[in-house]
Amino acid sequence: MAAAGGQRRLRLLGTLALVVLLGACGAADPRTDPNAERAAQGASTAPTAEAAHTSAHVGGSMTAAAVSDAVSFHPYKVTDSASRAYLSLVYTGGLLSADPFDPSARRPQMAESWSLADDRVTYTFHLRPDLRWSDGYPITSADFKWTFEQARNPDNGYPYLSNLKPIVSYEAPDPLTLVVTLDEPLVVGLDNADAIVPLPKHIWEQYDWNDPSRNPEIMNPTVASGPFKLKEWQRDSHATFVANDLYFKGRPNLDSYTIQIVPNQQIAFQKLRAGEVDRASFEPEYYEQAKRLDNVTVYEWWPASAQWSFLGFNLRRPALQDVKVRRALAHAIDRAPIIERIQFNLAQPTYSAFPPTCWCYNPDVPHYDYDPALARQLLAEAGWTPGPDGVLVKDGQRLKLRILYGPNSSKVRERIGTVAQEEFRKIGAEVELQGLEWAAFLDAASSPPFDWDLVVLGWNSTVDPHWSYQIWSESTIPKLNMGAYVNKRVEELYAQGVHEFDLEKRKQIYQEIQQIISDDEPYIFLTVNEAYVGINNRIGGIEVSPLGIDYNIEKWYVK
Amino acid sequence: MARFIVRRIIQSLFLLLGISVLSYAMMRAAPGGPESYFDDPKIPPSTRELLRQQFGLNEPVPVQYGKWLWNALHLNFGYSFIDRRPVIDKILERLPATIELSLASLLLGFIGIPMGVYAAMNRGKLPDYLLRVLTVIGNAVPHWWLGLMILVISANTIRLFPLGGMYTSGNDTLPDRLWHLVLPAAIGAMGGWIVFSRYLRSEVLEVLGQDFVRTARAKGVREPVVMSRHVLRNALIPVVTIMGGTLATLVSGSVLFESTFSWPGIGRMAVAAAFQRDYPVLMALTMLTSFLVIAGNLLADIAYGWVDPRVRYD
Repeated sequence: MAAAGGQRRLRLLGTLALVVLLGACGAADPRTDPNAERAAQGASTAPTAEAAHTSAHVGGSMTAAAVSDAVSFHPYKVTDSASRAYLSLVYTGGLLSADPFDPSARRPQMAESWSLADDRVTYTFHLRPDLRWSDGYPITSADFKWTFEQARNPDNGYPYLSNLKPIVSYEAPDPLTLVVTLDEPLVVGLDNADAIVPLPKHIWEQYDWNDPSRNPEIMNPTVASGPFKLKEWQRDSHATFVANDLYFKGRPNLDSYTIQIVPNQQIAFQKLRAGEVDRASFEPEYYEQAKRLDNVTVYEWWPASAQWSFLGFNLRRPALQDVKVRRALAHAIDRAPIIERIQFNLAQPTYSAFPPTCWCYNPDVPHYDYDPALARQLLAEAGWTPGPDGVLVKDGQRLKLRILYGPNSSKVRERIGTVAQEEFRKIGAEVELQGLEWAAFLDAASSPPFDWDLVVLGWNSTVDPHWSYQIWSESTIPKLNMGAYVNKRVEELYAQGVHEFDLEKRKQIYQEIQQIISDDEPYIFLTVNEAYVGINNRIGGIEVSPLGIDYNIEKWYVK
Repeated sequence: MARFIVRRIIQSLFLLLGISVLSYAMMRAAPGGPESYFDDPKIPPSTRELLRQQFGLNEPVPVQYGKWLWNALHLNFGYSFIDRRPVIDKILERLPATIELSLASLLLGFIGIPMGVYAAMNRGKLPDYLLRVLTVIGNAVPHWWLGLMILVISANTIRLFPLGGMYTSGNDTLPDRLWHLVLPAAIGAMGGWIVFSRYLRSEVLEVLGQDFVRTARAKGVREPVVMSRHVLRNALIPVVTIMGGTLATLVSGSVLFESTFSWPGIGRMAVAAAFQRDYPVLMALTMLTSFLVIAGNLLADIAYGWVDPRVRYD
């Protein structure tokens, strides 16, 4: 889908709560709207030879509901998931792509083959000869190289510039060959080398890279490499994309794909139900109702890039520096009602820093299951004794906990916070719960005076376990590692893991990391969430995979 | 009259300046900053620093305000932090949608005027009671909620109207636009129906009891003429005041409303800008709205003298 980098980026789930799942979608119903159909057909030009699909499914349009609109179509400026969803329709990134059914494996995409030299740092990619921009120009290694050079220029302010740091040189010896040299041999080297979503050099070269007033392509891309081309974008209303006849995986069956912006997931669900949109994401509480709809299929999967929820400790707090206190608080939380009543059974309990979908998953980490008696005992062992009003006291300090969650619009986080507040009170803590609007939450959680004890938050984990080092690393305090967890052994192991080419040995390394982190319990790991999306039954060709459904959007069709 | 207007304009300029200082201060006092759009923690601190520099956020806040004011006085409201487009472009792009909806709501809302007159003329009878009960209910229910309920109910039963949006993409025709406009405009007009009908009812009743009405009737003026020439003209005076206040909403749009009905107007942009801490957009919108509120009130005061000769300016 989007930039290869997209899959290895860790994101605060809070953005997801605001932005909703990346693919929240739906479509104008051509049965009630014959004009939309005609307009869409008129816009797509005569099919070319390579677009001649054998299937009888070509035609029709689809509308997806989304709660957030994109910011722009600049692949090297945007950081929000809505923009990335738009971009993935228009620009193809990835010389290679992850195999949707075996996400740690790579398969050819824009490159038809690749090789790694004996030095283990020089990757050579051979582009498919049939790659075309939608205006007919060939997509060549020169496009890749030019784009790389712009993105790498520090003046251009690419937010993920650090993704390009491992690249020592990026060469295009001939139009179909790219040679990428990295600074050191790493297991994730292929992902590091495949970091560029190419932009059409022949168009972009004449414009400014940064300024949308001097580069119309930033807001209105006219040339596409992805399955669709942008036809019309009315902000906060809709964006309509039409099939790219020259898409190298074949022209999409759908003539057009529209993303319609809706104010919230509740309305998205109503529109899905009414058939006004063909695709929508909605809150877990609508799941059962959605399953019963005659006109909608709910597709669900356990994502390879799992989303998991946790309560994170602030290890700057003296009381929480005692691992017994952290374990005690973990024993105070009952995951069963959280899963049943807050997440409507669309989640499973987790106890580890890596999700069960990872090949590296360690099921044998300690499980701090619900056991209030044990929790009280652990707190007593740690020296906390009940004071006159029942609140635990140690050395004259009361056990006061301040739980923060954000964004305050997230019902799920609010409810998890409430459950934690209730349970911690039962074992003798004084608990305050506060929800903050997202920007305010980030500010409070990750900048001084760090006046909080726990945060309710979620992470989107990465397919390769390596990238999760960022949340446990001393170098990412206080942003990603907002609780200031430091364990040198964990950092050492991560460094070993990324240099270990033997899969079995690598697996052992990550299992040890999980063991150490669960022993330290800097987070109370709560649940791993299932992903799901509702699609109108008139849309066919959807095949659920651990990477979701969007990987084969060009094969979707109207039944 | 001219002196009055000049004095009011000078007062208004100071008022606008005060508003700009206050709102700039409040905006900057809110925690977080525009970098929170770049909240992806993988973005290195150096990039954030570069962004802060580009946004001019490294200087002391009063200096930033001074620069903003200088530019604003030249009608340059800067660039959005989030998508780097000129703020003016962003606002102009949204303006038609907001004006379309609020103008339709306002015009439909005028139906409240005959409703109020009718209620006054049927005082104590069934239509009067009915109208009173309905306006009380209508006033008690939040309109965005009512809109949401109508959307939910119509999604689950017969769908007469679309569930929000301004037009069907690919079918941007006049009938389609009107069809999309009906629900939001009707609910937007509710405010007008309630306010206008309540005001008009009490005003008409008050005017009907005045001596000049009795005189007019006594000298044999026909009832329709009494109503239009004497009663209605006097009863409409408060409407002028209300209208002065609506000038701003015509452009600023309703946040909740535009959200409920997926209307791509100014209101939704304002909310997004607030969450993203997009200071230039927020300031431009605040100043635009403040300007219109002040201008609307000034116009209402001037119009007063025209509709009510008893008003004198000094």
